[in-house]
Amino acid sequence: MKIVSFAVFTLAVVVQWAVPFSSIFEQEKILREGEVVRIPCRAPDPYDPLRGRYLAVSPSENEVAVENPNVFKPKQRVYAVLELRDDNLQHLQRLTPTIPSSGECYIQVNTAPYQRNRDKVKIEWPFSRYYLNEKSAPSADEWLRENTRNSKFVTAEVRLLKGRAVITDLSVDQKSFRDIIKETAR
Amino acid sequence: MNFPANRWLLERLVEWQREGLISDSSAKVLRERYAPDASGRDVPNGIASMVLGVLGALLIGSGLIAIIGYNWDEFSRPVRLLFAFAPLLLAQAYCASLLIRRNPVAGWKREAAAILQTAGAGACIILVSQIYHLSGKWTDFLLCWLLVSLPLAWTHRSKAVAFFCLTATSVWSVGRVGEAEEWYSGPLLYPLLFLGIPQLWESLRSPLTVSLFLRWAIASSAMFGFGSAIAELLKNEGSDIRGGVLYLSWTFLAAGFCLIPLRKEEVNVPIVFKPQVALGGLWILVFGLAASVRTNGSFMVQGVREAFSMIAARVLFIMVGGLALVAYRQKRWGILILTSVVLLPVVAYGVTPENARVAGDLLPIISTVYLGLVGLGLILLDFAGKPAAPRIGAALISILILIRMADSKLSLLTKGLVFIAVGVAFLVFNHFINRRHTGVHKRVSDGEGLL
Repeated sequence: MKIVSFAVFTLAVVVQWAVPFSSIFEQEKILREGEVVRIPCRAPDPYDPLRGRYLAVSPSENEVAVENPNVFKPKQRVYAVLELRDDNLQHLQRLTPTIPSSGECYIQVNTAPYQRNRDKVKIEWPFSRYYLNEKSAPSADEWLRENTRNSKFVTAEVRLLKGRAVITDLSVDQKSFRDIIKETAR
Repeated sequence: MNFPANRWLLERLVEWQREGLISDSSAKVLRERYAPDASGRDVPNGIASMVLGVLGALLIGSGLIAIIGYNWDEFSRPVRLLFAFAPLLLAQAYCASLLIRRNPVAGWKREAAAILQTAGAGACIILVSQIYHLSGKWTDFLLCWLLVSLPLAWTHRSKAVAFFCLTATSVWSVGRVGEAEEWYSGPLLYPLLFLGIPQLWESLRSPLTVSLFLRWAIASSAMFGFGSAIAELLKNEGSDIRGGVLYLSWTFLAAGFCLIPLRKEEVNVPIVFKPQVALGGLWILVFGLAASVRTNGSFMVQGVREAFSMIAARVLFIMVGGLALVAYRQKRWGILILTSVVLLPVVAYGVTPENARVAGDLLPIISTVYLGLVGLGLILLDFAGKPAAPRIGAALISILILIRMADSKLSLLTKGLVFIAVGVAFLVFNHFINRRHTGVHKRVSDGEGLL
């Protein structure tokens, strides 16, 4: 009986290490090998009681015009092809249910559970949180509210590898948000 | 036999000795035979030390999570990952050391170690998701945390981890209603998660050996978890789960809980040891009282009509019917009368199935009369010297009168006077029943033996 208990315990220990490690491995690979893209977004400041302060990153584009909306079902895994425009930011170009051809910049997303428009498909981005230090979060939030009212907008810097994304930084007017937070906190 | 069953027996022994049912020598033998279990692999220890052990581990675990929540972004990524894995590694080493010990281990140490490892695993996942800014719903995180912690409920026989898993599974199920893409990512997975709790199997094998606290935790978790699974099934069949069909199905589920077959030794234990009956019965009474409100009639009757067209609801009704047959064979009359309340909307619908409006108007009348008779019956059984629940009966009648008053168009003055009269009558009745029971040396709690 003790052997069985120990075997189950060992398995539990292995799983407890494997779960975070599989995440770490995947994220590190994307950070190492992924292509850098910049996406315009908004970022208000909610609070997760378990995981602490974060900015809810919400890209400003979340709908893509499609010719045949019936191809896409709610909550379906699809690929959004991104294109670089004159503002030097990546924008949504089109949606495809299959992996796009090599050379194209694309990101794996899900279609939203509820769709409103017939000719457009709403998507859910794979990144939505940017965690912050608890101490500097309120001043960062205040700074964001005051400085993003007019022409300024937040940009999410994302690493992309085979459609998988990791958010690495936010920037305002091409200045790293991490640096802005440090300056504001002083 | 452990604490709750022991306590019950010791209390009864005093009464039985006083009433002359058993001799002093027999009582002594029973006391010795059913003394707290010291033969197990654990060193027996008091509840206080167990609670303190669990509390200490919980405080350390919560502190760990709060420290991590601060987000130490001045450290590099590898250093922060070290923060994430170091506490987990220490907790795992401590748990392993307890497991390989040859000598028996104190219960509080097992509990504290298992809680520490659970908190360590949760903190580690949290920190990794924070470092890499991983998105995802809180329900996904909760499921992941409970799945990696569940084995500790088996290996260290930790009641605290079992309680955590029971709570987490039901919270996860409720949070996932209508969100699942596949059956295994939503509340339909709950029954499998529920079967993973070791104390559930223990309670099936020998019901009274599981602590009272965990019996209530198991019953509460099952009520929420299976309730969520039913909501998901109905939603998958295209039902608007805000409609009456969900409330009707939940009430049938509650009836199913009440009707779960009991072992012989369980039938006559106080209702506090039968949480599935207490919780299920409470829901049924609330449903019955809601059915007696005039404005709810048509809503509930429409629920019946919709339920008859849905496979999930029909299967549930058949299962509850089967359990009712078993209860009938066990002669559990009290529970059969209580659970029959779920049939009231079905009866109202059956009278005029083609005219839902008339059936809706009929339901409050049928419900009021039936619940009134049930209340009266519960009181009269006591006077006939049978197992009864006079206080529950009186409370039921009082609430019915209050609902009728709220429904009526009488003046506030009249309603106020009736409320006062009912309140006074209830207090007087309670006093009378207490004196009556003292007079006949009968110290049984309401519902004992009946439910």
